[in-house]
Amino acid sequence: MTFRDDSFYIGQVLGGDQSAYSALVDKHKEMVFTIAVKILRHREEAEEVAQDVFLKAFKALSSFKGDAKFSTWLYRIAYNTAISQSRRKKPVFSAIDDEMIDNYTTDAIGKSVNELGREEQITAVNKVMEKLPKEENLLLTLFYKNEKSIEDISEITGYSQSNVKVKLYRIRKRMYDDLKRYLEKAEEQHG
Amino acid sequence: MDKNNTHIEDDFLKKLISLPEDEKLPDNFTPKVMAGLPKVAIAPVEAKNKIDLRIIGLIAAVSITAIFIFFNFDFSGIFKAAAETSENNPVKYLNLLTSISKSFSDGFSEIKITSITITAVISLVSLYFADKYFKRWFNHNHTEAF
Repeated sequence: MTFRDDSFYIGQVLGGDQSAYSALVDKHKEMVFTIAVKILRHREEAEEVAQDVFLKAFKALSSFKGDAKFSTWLYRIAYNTAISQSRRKKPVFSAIDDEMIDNYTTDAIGKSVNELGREEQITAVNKVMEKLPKEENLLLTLFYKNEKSIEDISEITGYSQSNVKVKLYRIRKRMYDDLKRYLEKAEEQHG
Repeated sequence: MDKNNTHIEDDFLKKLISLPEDEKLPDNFTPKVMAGLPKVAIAPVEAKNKIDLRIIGLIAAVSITAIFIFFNFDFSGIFKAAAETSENNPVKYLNLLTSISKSFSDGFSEIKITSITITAVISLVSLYFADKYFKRWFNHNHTEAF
């Protein structure tokens, strides 16, 4: 499905055509859901939050000034709503243990991962990502999977651009470290 | 990607993380959202801050200038001029305007870099930056509130 520019639909909605909002929902629902599910780690809850996000965005649409991209504005609402929801449940511990980031060689891990079958690779990645704190999991997804720019991630999360870079650098290291551990453990079990 | 991101760029990781399929939303997600919309009306555009910081700045600048002039120059000459010109011939009231403009031009010609002028300049600059900061802060918090 091809979509027109967000501003087109926003103009229509503000002009009284509420049905135009469905195009905005269709266009951005997956990303909003991804943000919610990465933070909440609960499918049903993430779906509810995604609905709530679109409702909030609709109510506040007239105050959207167009200084930032609509998508970034919407994703920031999604991020804040999901974070608020997750805080209601339990505290988030997201500190990265620097000691854990030990020596690793990306090539060695890459080689080991490439030797795995696709399903095994998916399981490995899922297992490792599940262990990451929620916000780090989201940062990783936004940058490496959704290919969001540092600037966009900074706008969405509220972290400064340099902070996002530092976090990504450390998360990437941690990811490799955890992958290495996972692969070693798997090898031990097989051996 | 810009050059400063080389330490975080990683095609291997990119490929790896893209492997797991995301959980999909149900097909009826959009209709469910849309069904919730008619119950709410789009909020009218929020009124701007009632007191514009630029207006506050302007008022402050005018006040500082007025106070400065009031305490530094003798205005009794104006009233004297008014008394002299209005006594016999009301048309001479016009001279009052000349007298006022002369007093002002005299007054401003004597403005030097004093602590008061420095204070005024600093106040204006501060107000300008405060205006910028509060605008930014207001825009940021607008999404924060959700």
